[in-house]
Amino acid sequence: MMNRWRGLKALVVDAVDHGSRAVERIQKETASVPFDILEQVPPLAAPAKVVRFFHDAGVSGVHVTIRLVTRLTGRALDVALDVLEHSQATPEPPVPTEPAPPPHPASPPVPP
Amino acid sequence: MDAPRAPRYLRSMGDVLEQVIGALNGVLGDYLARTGNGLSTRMALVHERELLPLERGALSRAHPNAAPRLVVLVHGLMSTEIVWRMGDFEDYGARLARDLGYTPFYVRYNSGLHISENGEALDALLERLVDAYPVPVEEITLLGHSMGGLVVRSAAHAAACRPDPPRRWLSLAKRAVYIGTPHLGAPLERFGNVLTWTLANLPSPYTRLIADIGNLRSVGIKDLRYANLRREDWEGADADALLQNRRHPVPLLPHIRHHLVAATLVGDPRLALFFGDALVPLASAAGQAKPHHRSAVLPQGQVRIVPGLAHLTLAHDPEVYAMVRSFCEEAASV
Repeated sequence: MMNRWRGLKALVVDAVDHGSRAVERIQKETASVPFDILEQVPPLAAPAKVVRFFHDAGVSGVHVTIRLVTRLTGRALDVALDVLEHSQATPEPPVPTEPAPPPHPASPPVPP
Repeated sequence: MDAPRAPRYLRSMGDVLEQVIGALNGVLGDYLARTGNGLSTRMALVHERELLPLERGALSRAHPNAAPRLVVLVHGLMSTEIVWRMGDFEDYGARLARDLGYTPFYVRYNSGLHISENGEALDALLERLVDAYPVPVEEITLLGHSMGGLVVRSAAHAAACRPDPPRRWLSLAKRAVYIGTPHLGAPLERFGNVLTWTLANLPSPYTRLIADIGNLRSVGIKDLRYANLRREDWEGADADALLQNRRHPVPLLPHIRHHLVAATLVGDPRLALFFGDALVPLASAAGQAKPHHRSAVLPQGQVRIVPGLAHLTLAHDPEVYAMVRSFCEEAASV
């Protein structure tokens, strides 16, 4: 069961990670349309490049943070699940130790 | 002493959870398996909600009166063995045990993997079952619902193609019943393929994103596009390419009696041909192959059509059970 909880956690982390990357890509692609046009106009090209740089850096920063926080939360959940699993594990009763049996004497040959 | 049974509400919750995980495996099973996710299902036999180890002792405990005739039930896409359950908590396996003395075994597997991968796994599982079974097996009946029927066919093909030593289970398999099985593929998946391909090729990041999400569906679902049964059908191919039928015919093994059960929801024969049981068209479930389908010839004399049933209902309907039972009786009397 704990394996399935870990699986669910991994799936949610993966979903957020992939979702965040996809949204980041879309935001940058969508913003690139006006930036591409502005960068064709000579007086605006230089400031447009600067704005695009800060825009893309801002978008990436937000999504990197989202992914980082998600991964850290995932790690914390891993630790919590480990602790839970450890606390649920029942200690095994000690196995009584018995003295080793004496070695068998060589059996005499059985007469035919 | 038997372990105490869980209360009924807990068992129901457990069933719901297994069904959700079964559905998740159907949608994303290949991803779950590839990433080693704990939610990925490994092919196994299930007995009374628990995984049944393929060991003689475990099989003897599960079936103290093990009969030499086995029936193996294989569920379909996004499903689990619970799909076989009828209203009275019986199922086709339990009824065949009661009526004809079969010992039933229920397979659970990750239906998001390639059909050929599940076929190979079922081939290995059946061989281990025959090896570990407490009494000598005399015959095996295979029952596949929907994708399960394709997995059964793929397993038989994998077993037949194996070099020495030959699989014992294959010679013991006497009949196979394919219930609502899309032998010629599923138009719903072909529609999904056309839709995602179109969205992916539009010049918009938004439609591409939707296409990407759609293309996350498992390779098991994508195999249903043309009912791919062999590795050669998908190896080296782009699974998201537009309507590429790379299917290689898989002939039915002649020593097995093959029975096909199809359902129709509507009365009109032309509509029934296309809509069938709402998921699988009649032509596909009945295996009415034409040369362009690149499919093996399926025995049209062994097709039975049930009117007024939906795809999932086929797995737990008294009328369908009566057919399955008659197939088994008919084969036993030959």
